[in-house]
Amino acid sequence: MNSFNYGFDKIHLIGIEGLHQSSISKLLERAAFFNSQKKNKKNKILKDCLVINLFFENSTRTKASFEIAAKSMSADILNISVSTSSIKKGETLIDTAATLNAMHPDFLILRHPNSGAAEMLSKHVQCSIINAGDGRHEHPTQALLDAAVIKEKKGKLEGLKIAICGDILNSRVARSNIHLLTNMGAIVNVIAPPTLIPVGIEQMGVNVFHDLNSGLESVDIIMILRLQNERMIGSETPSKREYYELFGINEENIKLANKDVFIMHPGPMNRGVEIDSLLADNNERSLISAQVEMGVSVRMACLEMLKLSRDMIYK
Amino acid sequence: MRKLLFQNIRVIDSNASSDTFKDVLVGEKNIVDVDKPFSIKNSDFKILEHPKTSILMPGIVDLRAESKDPGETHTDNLETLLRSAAKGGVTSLVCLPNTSPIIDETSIVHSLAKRSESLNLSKLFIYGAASIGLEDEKMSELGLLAKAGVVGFTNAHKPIYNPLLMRRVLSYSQMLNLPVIQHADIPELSSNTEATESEISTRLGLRGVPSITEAMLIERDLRLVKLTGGKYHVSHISTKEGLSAIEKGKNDGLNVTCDTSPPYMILNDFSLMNYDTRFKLSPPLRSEEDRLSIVEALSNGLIDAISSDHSPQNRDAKLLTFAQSKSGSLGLETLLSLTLSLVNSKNISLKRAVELLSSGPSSILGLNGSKISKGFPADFILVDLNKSWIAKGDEMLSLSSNSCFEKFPMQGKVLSCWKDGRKIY
Repeated sequence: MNSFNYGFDKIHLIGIEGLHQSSISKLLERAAFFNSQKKNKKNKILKDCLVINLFFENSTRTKASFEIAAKSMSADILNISVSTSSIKKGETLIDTAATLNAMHPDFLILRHPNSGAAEMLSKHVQCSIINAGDGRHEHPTQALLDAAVIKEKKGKLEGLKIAICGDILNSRVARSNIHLLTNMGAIVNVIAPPTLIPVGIEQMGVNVFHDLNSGLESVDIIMILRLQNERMIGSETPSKREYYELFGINEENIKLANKDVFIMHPGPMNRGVEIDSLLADNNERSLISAQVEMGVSVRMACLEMLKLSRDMIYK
Repeated sequence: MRKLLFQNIRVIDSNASSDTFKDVLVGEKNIVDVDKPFSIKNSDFKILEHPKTSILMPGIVDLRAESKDPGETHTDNLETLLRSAAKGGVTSLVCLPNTSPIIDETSIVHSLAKRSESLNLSKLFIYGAASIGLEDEKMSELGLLAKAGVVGFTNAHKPIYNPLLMRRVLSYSQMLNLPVIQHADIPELSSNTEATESEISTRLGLRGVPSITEAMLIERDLRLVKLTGGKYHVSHISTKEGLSAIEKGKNDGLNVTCDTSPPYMILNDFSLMNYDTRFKLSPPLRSEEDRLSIVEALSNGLIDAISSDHSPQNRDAKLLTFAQSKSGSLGLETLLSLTLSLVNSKNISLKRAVELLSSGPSSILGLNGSKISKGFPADFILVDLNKSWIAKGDEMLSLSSNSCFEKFPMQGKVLSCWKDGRKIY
């Protein structure tokens, strides 16, 4: 176990950008290993470690996933949800973090609505920060779990053609996935109306499509992103029905993709908006539950990686 | 009082278009005599020693500095503002009306003017609010404000966006012969944004504003300037497109001027890569292409002045995530050195630098620029061109320390600063 080397020399996991290929490969390999173990079987890797989940945004699956990962590695875990209202009351991120830092955690899992929050926090605490989503910037563990699932199903990432469809502009999941997949040699198509494509995204190595059908042509994987209904209707996209008509993924349009195409979604889904309800429930196509399952294993691998580099650095 | 003599000193004076060694004799208030080196004798004076690499230049006139006093005196107060100015070689500065209360009526003008005079430091000029409460709806009492001594009208950090208001302010201020100072931006496109829209903002996940918003508002304004004949000045211009709009206005013979500030001459949006909130500015840092066009426009005369855009923010306001933190950077103490960096990199001449810092801004305000000539007020600074130093926010005289040039190596330092014969630094 101690000879296991992730080739990673930092104590924080802030994003996929800048992560070395070999570290990504090791993380995926270890995630696959943890995934093959009997579920809920405990190991001792994080024995005597304290993990704090600090979530400034609502989250069900990511928070639960980190909690289960930490517990199955014998860590103690504390969940703190800070509603946005108390941020407005004046407590700053730094203040909250300083308080928690004084409790000497080993890991702080942070989700925050502002881009750069994880990076900023990493400069003010001694523990390891894992970014569980910062604004529109990155969500590294989501990208890693997506990649681990793809690798499990397809055996590789290199050379695969992957479509990411939906709100690229506001999505940290899209950014992390783009970094990871292009770094590992996959071909990435992003598909969205022009209002949901950020400036300069091509420079991140992707092909941009505004026409769903051309973007889906012969792809191996379709990653569907959540449309943030409440906020976006009437601003970045005119209406739900128009979005579904032009960009909704259904049994019909996936025929343009490779015949063994798989569908992924980071959840929670808007059935009938970005994804057809029937397709979402098609277990032959949909990897959505596999994603949730792999989420725990990937987070175990990330915790292990950081534990090892902490042990090295603080030896 | 004994007269003071700077003997055989290099004098750069953009007004007198000179760059020669001279003797400069300073009396109680004015420059008593200027002559060839070692020719001033037979007078009761004390010789002031100076390094060989030093120059005497007119005091800097700064078109844009934020006063946190009244209203936010824990961030900065009038005295620390004026001391920072003197330390930076700024002998005259204009503050924005976004104090609390807002400078939209005369009593605050009188009070600030009186308080600043009693401090006997740099001269504080004041812009009046173009609209009541800076709310961009109703015109302030521009005439009364002018009578009280303001030198221009502006909505401070917000644009004068309402076209009807802009038309009226341009028309009315023309009668008063005062400039209208614009922060060129389109609020609907820029609200809640944190950076200039680019590949960098996309990578960082920061909300981006397209850089064309600056030119969009300038282009509209120029039509109103043409219609009204008003005097129009764009503050902290930062984009290539904005500059071409200004160029067109100038070519059309309109009464248009602009200034930029050191961040837009020296930095680009790559600085944001670590989400360091010191680099959160308004307007946001732009692309390298924009920066290069700013440097070119400083050299070819399209830009008329360099302002400090001094904006103290207290520690708490910057110790937040990038989205939550306030915009702005200190600028007074680094203004001269950063301008000189363009001289050192051979982008502009030393004379041009002096022009951009002194006679350029003076003429925008309609002031008689200071000159290092016989009979003129002693309003000048002694600068060592070779002295190197490191910018450190904590060592600056402001009560705040938010410099976007933290730890930058600087060359050229103000050794002393003189206003009306008094040594104020």
